[in-house]
Amino acid sequence: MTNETTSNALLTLAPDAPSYSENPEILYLLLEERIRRYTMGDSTSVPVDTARRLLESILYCLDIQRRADKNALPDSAPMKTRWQAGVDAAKRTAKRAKLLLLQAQRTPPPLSNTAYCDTLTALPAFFAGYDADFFAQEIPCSFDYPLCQPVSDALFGAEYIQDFLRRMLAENAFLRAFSADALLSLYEKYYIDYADLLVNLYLPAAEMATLCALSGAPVRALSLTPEQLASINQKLLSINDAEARQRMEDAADSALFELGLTSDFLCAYTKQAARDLLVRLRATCE
Amino acid sequence: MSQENGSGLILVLREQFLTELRTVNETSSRYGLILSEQGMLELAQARTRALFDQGRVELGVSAVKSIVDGFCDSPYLLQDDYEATLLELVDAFYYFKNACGDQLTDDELIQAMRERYDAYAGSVEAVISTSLETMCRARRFGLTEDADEEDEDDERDDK
Repeated sequence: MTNETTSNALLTLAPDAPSYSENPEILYLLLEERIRRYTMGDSTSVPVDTARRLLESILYCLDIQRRADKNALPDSAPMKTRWQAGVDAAKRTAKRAKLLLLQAQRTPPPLSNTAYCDTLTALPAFFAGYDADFFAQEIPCSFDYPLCQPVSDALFGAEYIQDFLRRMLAENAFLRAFSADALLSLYEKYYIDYADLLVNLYLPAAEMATLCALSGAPVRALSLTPEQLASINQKLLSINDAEARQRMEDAADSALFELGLTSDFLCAYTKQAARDLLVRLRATCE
Repeated sequence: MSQENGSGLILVLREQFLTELRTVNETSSRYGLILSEQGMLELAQARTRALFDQGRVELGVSAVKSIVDGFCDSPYLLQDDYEATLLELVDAFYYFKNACGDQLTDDELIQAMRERYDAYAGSVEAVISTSLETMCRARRFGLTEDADEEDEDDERDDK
């Protein structure tokens, strides 16, 4: 970067952000306006990092609008109008995510661990600190509960939190189909210390439920004898990949049916967990 | 975003900044202070360099205009060293802006710098070499140069 380009270096500062073909001059004017609003006219300059965050927010909101409100506003609409629509969309997403958080608080799994509780305690800070007008792409809170299938790195801001909570709720719904005793017994076998380790609570239950369905054992018991496990292993090794994958998916379907869970999202989520289990089982045997 | 567009925009911005500086002369000329075209170009470069060095971004209206407006009626600012003084003040301004963590507004900072400048009979060195804390304390409590030094002496004695 040369000195000549310094104060305008922002125009190329966000290489990962979806840039499409926004007019840099209009983008510059919009950023200038956002900086003026951000400093409330008290300062003509801001640190590069602040300007970068503001620019990322603009690009992110334009991207949200492009994805969420495709029919309402064409790309030829004024950039500020599209940006404002993106900000509104981000705010709506945050509101929806807040409802999901309330639902997650109302419907906890039968057993939880420290990471889960800390995350649920930390998430309200997101809604208190989220600022769609200036930093729509940011997540102003820290949480560490590991989901079975993590949120895509391509999501930011309220979209990230919404997807995180959607996944957490699906996991909770699955876990609530089991008794605390069955889960405790499973966790004690699966993890050394499920309560304090940074571990996912859904994964062992999903895997064991799939295996139970595969062997024809009652799913709610979440328990198989070593002989039953060995038999499943042998059965899966004796068939080809495609067939084994199909059996695992069918077993996941049966488990969900037996548990009375019908959500499409949960179905896809559990099937993915079953496929991942198959990969691990095959890797172990090789 | 094409490189061509970016370069074009940079030229437009530089021209905007120079236009802004030309308007500054309208005010400062009342106090016998005029920026030459060469001086404006140097100031533009100094501003860009200061922003780069301090890791700051300035779009639209520049603080340089406010700095000129804030200093041009100082009895210690003379045409002979006007341009050189401005270059140093611009450097100092962006430095202090970072040093205060953006807690001072542009106007507050310029006012504090100006008071220091006048208190030390037009010494840019005094403005540059002071700490932000000293400058703000002097402004907040209206301390004079002597009182300011006495305070510092007292602090040293206490130690």
